[in-house]
Amino acid sequence: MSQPEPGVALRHITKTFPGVIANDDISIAFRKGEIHALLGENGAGKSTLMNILTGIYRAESGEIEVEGRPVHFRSAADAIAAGIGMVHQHFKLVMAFTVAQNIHMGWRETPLWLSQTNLSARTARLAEEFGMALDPDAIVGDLSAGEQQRVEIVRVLARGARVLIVDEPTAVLSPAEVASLFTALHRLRGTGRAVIFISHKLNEVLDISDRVTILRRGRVAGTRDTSEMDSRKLAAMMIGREVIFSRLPRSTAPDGLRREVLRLDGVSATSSGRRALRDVSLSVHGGEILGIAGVAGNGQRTLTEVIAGMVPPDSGSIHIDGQPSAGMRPDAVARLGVGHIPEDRLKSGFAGALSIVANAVLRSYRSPPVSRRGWFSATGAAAVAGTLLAEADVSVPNLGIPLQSLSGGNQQRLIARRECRIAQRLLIAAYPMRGLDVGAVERLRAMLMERREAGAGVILISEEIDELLELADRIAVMHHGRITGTLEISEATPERIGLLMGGERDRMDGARV
Amino acid sequence: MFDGYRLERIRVPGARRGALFRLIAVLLALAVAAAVLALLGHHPLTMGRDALAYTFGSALGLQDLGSLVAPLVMTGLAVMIGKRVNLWNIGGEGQFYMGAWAAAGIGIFVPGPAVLMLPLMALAGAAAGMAWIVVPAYARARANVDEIITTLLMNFIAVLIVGYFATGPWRDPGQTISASSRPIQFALPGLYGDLNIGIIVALALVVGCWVLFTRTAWGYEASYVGANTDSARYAGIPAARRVMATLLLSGAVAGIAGAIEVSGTVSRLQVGISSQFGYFGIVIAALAGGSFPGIVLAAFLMAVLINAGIILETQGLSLNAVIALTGWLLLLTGIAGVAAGYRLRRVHPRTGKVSA
Amino acid sequence: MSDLVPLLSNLLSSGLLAGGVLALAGTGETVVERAGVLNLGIEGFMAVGAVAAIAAVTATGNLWLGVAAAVVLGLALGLVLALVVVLFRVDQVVAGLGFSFLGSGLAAWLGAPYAGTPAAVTFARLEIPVLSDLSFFGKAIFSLPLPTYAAFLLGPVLVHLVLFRTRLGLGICAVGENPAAADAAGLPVVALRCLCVAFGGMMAALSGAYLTLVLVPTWSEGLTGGRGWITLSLVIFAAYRPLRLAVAAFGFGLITALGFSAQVLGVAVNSAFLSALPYLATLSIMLVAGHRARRTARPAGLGIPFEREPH
Repeated sequence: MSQPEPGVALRHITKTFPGVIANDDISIAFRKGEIHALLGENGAGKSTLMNILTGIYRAESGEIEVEGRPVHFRSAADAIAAGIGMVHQHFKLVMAFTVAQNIHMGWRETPLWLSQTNLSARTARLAEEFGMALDPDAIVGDLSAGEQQRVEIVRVLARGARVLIVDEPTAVLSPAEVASLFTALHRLRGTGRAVIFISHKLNEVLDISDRVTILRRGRVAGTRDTSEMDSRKLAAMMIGREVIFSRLPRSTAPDGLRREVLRLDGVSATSSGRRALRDVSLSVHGGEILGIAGVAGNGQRTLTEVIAGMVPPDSGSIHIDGQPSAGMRPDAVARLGVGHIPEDRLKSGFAGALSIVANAVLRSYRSPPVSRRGWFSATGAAAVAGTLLAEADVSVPNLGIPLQSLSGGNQQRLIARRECRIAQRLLIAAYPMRGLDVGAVERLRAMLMERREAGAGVILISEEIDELLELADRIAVMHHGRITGTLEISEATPERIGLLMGGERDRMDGARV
Repeated sequence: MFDGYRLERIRVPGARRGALFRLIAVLLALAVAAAVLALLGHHPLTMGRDALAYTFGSALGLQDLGSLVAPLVMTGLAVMIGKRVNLWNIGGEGQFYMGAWAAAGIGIFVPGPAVLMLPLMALAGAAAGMAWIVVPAYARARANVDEIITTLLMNFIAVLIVGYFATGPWRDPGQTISASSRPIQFALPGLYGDLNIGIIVALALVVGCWVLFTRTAWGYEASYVGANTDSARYAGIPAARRVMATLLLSGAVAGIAGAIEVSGTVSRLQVGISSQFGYFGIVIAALAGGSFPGIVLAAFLMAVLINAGIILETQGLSLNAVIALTGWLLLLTGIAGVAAGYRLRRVHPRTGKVSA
Repeated sequence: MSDLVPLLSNLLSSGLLAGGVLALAGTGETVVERAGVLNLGIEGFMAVGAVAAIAAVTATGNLWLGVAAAVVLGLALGLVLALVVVLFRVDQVVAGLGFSFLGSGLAAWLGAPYAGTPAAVTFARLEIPVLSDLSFFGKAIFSLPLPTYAAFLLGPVLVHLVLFRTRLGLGICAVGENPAAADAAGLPVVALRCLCVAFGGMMAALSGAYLTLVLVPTWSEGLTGGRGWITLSLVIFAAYRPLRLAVAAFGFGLITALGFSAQVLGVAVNSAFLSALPYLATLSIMLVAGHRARRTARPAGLGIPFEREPH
């Protein structure tokens, strides 16, 4: 049997950043005509490795070989010239440009003199050649995530990529779009290209790849044929120990606390000029976790903003613990006992440049011990901050340092603790565990459970179906601003949730919770 | 970069590190300025010595210095207040002018006891300063219109207005020099010789603002709005109101500076009532790096430099040279700000180990 | 009534003459901002160019050497600015203000010997054959100095073609909209930005030379009179498009000329108000355009320093 053809080989790649070894002696051989998955948790070193492969970073030691020849990349352009193309998780597209302009920017083969017609024609030809449906003159900012991804793929292929890297490509796609992506990847494999599929989703990896390499803490934990693996084995290699998918221990909260803490009736809302919520009705009781599943961008953020009071609903009513709250300002909603861990903590929830103390007291600065009759007390604020830090299990050298000097995980823990403290009735958590390391994730989960045990209602929005299956008591699924179905945990399966995510109305249940 | 060394990013440089780098920037700026002067045929060291000797060696010199420090502290404070909400008030010059205009208007024409009139003039100055920033402030708070350009344009208009009044309706009929108005009836009480209480007012304003921004809930809210407006709104802080109020305060401080200048040091409204104080305020705020005591230190430094520029006019220097120096200083301060975020680390050639 | 036609013709001509300064500086700044950088120091570059031009002309008697002096200094200072804001990533407001003060201060200080003396040679009006004999437009449009034609026709048209019709221009716009995307696509972000900033510096200095060699033509302290800041507003108002900028520059030139003519004619309007007219007009367009055109046309990456993660 002849040797499988070399595509790209990484040998002993090592890369360090201040304080952390991101890639430690990594050797992987990606073959032509193969879909090779790169699996690992957040922080395992996948992005760094790919940045080295695409010429954005330079490794401290090790070699890269393309089709058997050693190469040295001094810049992204070198990697592109060597036939390596990457479709990033966060698309590197210019939103204001047309599809044609995005495809032609920075490309050596773009003619010196441009015109809209000639760029359009060239783009149409390329789209046909690679079998992707594209409108050359559409503005990329107006396209759906799946369409934008196609633009990225065509752009990369047009530059002669023989090795295609796709980084977490399904994060923003609906199940139908995922299916068409997989078809496209199969077709590319058939043309003899090497495809590197980066993911942390076990079921996708099992679905699409021929071989899989697992990265753990910057090292290769192993490379296997996918046919020999199952999710349990993959998870074990990813985390380093047997992981049992089980639900966290919980007690049923005493009956007295099981009253309705949140009720939405026919709520519709607009965001950025578009209808983001359509006639949403749901109810959350004290002592339960309602999970909200769905591909990001289907109205989840607007849902949290409407409940938290950041955006007024266009129609419908919201009751928090029996009190109508639609149109209330966020701080008034917070006073009703509602905490909100926001999706983008960089946008709302904290001010990185300000000190830890200043951020810790954002919810409590209006009253003693932080301020009395308008006078702000530094010692009072420090005391509150100290308590929060202790409860969140975060230690800092001094309270005056800017919040952004903490790691992402610590920042999130602090903010989550701050919000949990005021969430007597309801806690809204939007993707709270996104991007966190294992330790921070466990802490966050503990905080959510603690609120549940204390009798508060919790809304947990997440893209990870596994996470919801482990934590939630009920799961509602959103699609295009509507709730397509709600499932008790006992009847929830990934397949049913997936269907609802794709827009299928649940046959067993109406839109009402 | 060079063999054996590597530049490493410091995630968040401390306040002391920032101050150190800014100090180095000042020294470097002066060194280069001295070199340029030498190239042009001057003798920078003797010039420096002469200027310092005069400034610190004589009572008159110290009084001149003190008279400069007062308006500089206030214009610097005005810019820094704007920066608390992350905005640049470049209109200090215009607000200064309009403050002077308003105070002069009262001071020239309205009779009354000085004890009542002087505070009234200060209030008028504050009000005029606020009026002069209100349009750019509102445009920024509501419509996100760039405040740098709008506040700056107002400067030019203010200068024209003052010029018109000083040489027109308020012209001193007895004077042949037509660039200044009739005299103002009231004078600020003196402190020591030529120095008036303006400097006390300036320092009081610094203390007052320090208390406001660090020891009140309102100040906490304003700082939060400056750091992250979205988060602030989300916590229920009325962001636009805080921004407006802070900018109005900034304008008021610059206006008071003008009122004091016209009722103390100069006592007439004239075209050159501000020797670019508003613009110097920008570099003072940049040097202070966000600290209130820093404003006083930076203003002091600028006062020494400006005084030197005036003293050395006979030797070929001028206020314009000081303005050029100010620009150069701003550049170096900016570079210092970035440089403070990096550290030079030694990399052992063989093992590749990194050490401090 | 018969006075009206030559009056209007003069006004038109003065408007074009005055607008030339803004057209030159604005064309340059449009390129700079399309690449994602803000040059707040235009005022300083203008002053330096003005003094350099008049100094060179006084010393050599050669107009083109005056122009060359401005070009060289403009490029040099532009490269320094590029170094500071693109490579060192210094805050663009601080750096811009720094250049503004540095340039204006240096020009006023070192240019003092040249103050008050008109330039020995200036650019004369060109009398375009045949067309300049037309009764109205002849005097107004077809007998202007060469630099004015360059400022309104050559500059904006060339820049428009390069920005919107060439591969280089596509790269420049990409770099201004999303430098990370441009970088991933293989574009040399830093080099392109430096190139554009240097070009902008050159154009700003040229606009200063225009002041002392065409328009005024005497240097005096404060000659630039805020035109650098007005240029910034015009660029926003023109939605970062060079051809629209040329029209806006002309409009501004007209307003300035109007104010000046009114004063000369002894029209009963306050002269201070007339002098303030350009600033008031700029303020108004900032308030209007500052929030309308901005949201859609503004390059998304404007003013944000580009940084690739550490290597």
